[in-house]
Amino acid sequence: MVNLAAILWRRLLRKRWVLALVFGLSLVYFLSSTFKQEERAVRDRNLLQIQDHDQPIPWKVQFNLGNSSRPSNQCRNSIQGKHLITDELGYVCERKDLLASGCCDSSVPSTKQYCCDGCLANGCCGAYEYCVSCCLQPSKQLLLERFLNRAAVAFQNLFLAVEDHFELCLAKCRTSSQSVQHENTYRDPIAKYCYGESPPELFPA
Amino acid sequence: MKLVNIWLLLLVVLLCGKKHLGDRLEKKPFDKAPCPGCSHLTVKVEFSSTVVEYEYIVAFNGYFTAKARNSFISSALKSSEVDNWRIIPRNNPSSDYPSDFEVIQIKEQQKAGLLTLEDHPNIKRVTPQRKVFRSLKLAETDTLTPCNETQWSQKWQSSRPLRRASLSLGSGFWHATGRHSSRRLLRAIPRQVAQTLQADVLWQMGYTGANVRVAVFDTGLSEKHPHFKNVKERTNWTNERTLDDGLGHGTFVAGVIASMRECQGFAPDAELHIFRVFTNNQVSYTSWFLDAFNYAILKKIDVLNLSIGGPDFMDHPFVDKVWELTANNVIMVSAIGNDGPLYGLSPSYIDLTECPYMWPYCSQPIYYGGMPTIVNVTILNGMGVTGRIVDKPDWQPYLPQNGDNIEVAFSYSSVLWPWSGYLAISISVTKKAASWEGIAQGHVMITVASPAETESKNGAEQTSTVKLPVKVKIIPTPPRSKRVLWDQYHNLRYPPGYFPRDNLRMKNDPLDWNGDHIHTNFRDMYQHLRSMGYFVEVLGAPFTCFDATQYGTLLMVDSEEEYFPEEITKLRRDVDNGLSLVIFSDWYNTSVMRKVKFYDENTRQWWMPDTGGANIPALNELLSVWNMGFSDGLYEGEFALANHDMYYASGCSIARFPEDGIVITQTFKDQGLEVLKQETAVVENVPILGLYQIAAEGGGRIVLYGDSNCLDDSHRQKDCFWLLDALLQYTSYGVTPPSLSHSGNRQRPPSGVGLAAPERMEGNHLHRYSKVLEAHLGAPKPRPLPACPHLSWAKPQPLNETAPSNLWKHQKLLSIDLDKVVLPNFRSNRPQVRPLSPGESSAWDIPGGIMPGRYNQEVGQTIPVFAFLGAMVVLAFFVVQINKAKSRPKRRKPRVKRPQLMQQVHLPKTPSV
Repeated sequence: MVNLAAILWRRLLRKRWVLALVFGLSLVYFLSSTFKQEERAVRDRNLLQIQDHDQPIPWKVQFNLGNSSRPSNQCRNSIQGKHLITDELGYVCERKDLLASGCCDSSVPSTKQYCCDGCLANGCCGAYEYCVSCCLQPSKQLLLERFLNRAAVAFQNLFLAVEDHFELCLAKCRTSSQSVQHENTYRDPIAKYCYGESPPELFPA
Repeated sequence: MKLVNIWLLLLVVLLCGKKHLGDRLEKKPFDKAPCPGCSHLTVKVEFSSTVVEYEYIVAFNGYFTAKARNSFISSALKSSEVDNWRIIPRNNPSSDYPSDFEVIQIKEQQKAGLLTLEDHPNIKRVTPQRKVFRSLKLAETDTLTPCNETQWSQKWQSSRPLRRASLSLGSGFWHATGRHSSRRLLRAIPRQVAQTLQADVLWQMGYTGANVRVAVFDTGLSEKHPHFKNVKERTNWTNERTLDDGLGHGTFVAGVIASMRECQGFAPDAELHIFRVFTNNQVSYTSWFLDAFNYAILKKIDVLNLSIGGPDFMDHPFVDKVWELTANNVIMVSAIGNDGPLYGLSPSYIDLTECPYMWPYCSQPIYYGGMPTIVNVTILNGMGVTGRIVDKPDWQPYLPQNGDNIEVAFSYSSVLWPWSGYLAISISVTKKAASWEGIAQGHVMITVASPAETESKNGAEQTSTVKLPVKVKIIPTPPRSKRVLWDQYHNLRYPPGYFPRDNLRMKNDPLDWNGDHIHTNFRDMYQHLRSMGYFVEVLGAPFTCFDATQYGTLLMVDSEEEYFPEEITKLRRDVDNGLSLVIFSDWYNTSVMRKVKFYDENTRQWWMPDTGGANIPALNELLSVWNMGFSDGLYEGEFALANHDMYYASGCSIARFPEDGIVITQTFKDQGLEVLKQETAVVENVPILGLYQIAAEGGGRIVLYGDSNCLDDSHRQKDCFWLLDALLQYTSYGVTPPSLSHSGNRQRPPSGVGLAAPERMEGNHLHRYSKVLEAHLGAPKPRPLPACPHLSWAKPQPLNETAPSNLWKHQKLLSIDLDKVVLPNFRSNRPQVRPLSPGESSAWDIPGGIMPGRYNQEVGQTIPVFAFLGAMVVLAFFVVQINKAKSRPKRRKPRVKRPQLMQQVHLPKTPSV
């Protein structure tokens, strides 16, 4: 009985169409899993590994600086500040001078536009709000475009999702992996908010 | 950084409460004026717990089998002759594995039994068994208040009643199973955790998490997991090239939040954003988090769940980023840890008499002349991201409740940001109550103001007033001999410097990071001293800042800090005037310190210790006037002293001691040699304990011991609390313990002649973390002596009225009766959760749009189709080939040939048969 099965099996195996079928199925499996893997590699939004250095990254940042694109008199602003706040027009004001529209009250003398107070030559500032305001200067557009095309490759996740100049400045000025040394200390504990291309200067220990 | 499991109750509350936008970050009910169209009912979650009579949780030092646990308990209880006890069986899958606790029931002589249990070397602590209740309540808000009123004030009432045991036990389905049956209750829990915690009630009200963006910071989630339909995006922030969860933690957490199938999550309609920030090995770095957090802010995440816990509160980049997230309206839910007591929810009153909830406050009453008791209160301000305290906090003592017997001082954040601030309350007893005993009560009133966000007018503010009840127990000032002062000022801790462990054998726990405080890793010692009748106070300032005539003994254990010259002078004077000193030192050997440097994976740098276990060069400077000093020897070994088994774990020896002192020596292994050269050597007559009476009239006593591990909870193998008792008897009362003075191990005190005094390690960075030293060219020098802390007592505004008896009583709440819930806004938008029927596809419709790198199921589903089609083509090709081959004349040998060959092979054999 066992013999019979063995012979039958041997014969069956030797049939070419059986072999072809086995081969075909294996091929199907191979192809499908390869396809799947490739597709996943494309979908991965990996921070530290970059797939293509040559391909330009499809930024969608729009540098729309005219007031025309803004709906009505509403402003987006930097939301988070303890004392200060920056609106999307580049005005920095104290929290108490923030209008209900979200814009800074530009008639108050302490409110300043495109203010770079406490910002160093390397593009790093002592206060987040001044960093954003400074970064919103129209003249900083070239610098930001250069940054987007080169240095920011490591930050694809973040800067691919940024849509305009204001969002870019909000995101760029935040402290990030570039701001720290030894993971748990700032490179420069004073000027740590940077709109520029380079990370903060390493603070002498 | 390590992963910890999480308990997501709070998340649910926040998720479901999201529609009440103004209430987002409040725990305390600053109820907002309802708006038209909003529900007038607010859901409140309430926790309560009761002590289960006769039942205790016995926690062990490690994980032991059921048999070992049983034998520990029975041996401990046998010695105190308690018979009527039993272990309550826990029938769950983990009962086959070693455990670190046991639940027991003792019906007689509980006090004696518990004490002996706690003294057992393998038992860490014994706590009463508690039963926890959680219930949802609907609270009717005041419907008459108009929406746009900005100036609103609200009488605050605590959400916790005074006696938690009496809380709303009468109703609710939780209590149906009976009062002392928490285990039965656990078994009765339905399999679905969301239903158990009454999430379905919220679902029926329309809170299913729809339109809420939830970020899960974890180990990722696999693509197309059948339990999730609303995964919006998956991103990877680690150095591993995958988005999938190779561990299961991330999948579990995401499941608790938003699973649609099998075991439902709490908010099935929530929009999931998966952030993979931990590798499969649970590794992650601050820098990964920083970038991922920035992305979460940009994506306007509503709720962010973070399963991380760690001790590094000095990691400023991380801490600042968490504040930034909060300020950007991201609600962060972080893990509190996998261990710890149940009372994790902060109460909204200061009842220092309530035990164990208010431990350690409740463990020691306050008295005149004692160090002020400090309570740190967190103010959660739901009105806006910034706020301020109007004027000053007010202290209003109740005269009939003796509130005028205490004084109160405040310090608080000048700006409450983000959404929160601190209020530190220092409480002290007035001089007139120096010999008074009783309970004193009062309350603290604070008014918080925030800019009105909805108001169009500039500078408008909304305010809210909070009343915080205070209740303390006062006793007459104890005698000097009963008062022990614990020196905390000279104990340093891990963040951010490297202060190595005190027991060099504990290699997997290199840092001494518990702060060496009587409420952390010296808790057992503290409890022991309390049970012996001592009152222990903590000195958080230099020695120049305490009145030595108040205290019998200054206790210095494992000190790493340096000493100001003024401190050294003052302490000498104090000891001459009758203050006693007990010093438990630890090892300090520069060669060993260089040897135990290590590479820290978290900060990616080499760490060199800044001191040894203790700072012996500094201690020796302090002790030099009495002709005392420790050596830089490093010894280890077991020994017996006065019929007690002792273990000396990485301690030093006494290098010199006055002639007329008592010195005890032992025989030990030289651990320094072992660490440095892996050689074993035995050293005899190592002086480890010295007792000395100051010769001057009325002078104090000094005790030195070379190892602190026997007092420290973290790595203790054998405790020496008995020794501490004997030493305190000596220092406080002058009773020389005969077991020590007549010990066979008593030797002549070492003179220290010819021994080089231990030197500080060259190039150490202690000055970076020291409160005493500052960097100078050359060697670091002491800073100028800081001013002693000064409290300015708040001017009391006495209330000549009795404290309201309902001070802690809960607001009138409408309890949910599950059978007859009158649900407002009943909507039929329950999440469509149904079990997966056999054969049904697990695919869900995901709103389309192929975004770069975005998780998109449509693309995912077409791949197999293409692959299949391709394979079919290949298959067809082969079929055609086979057909061709069949029609062609066969050139190869016919199939029958092979059997012939086989026969040929076999043929030669046949003739031989």
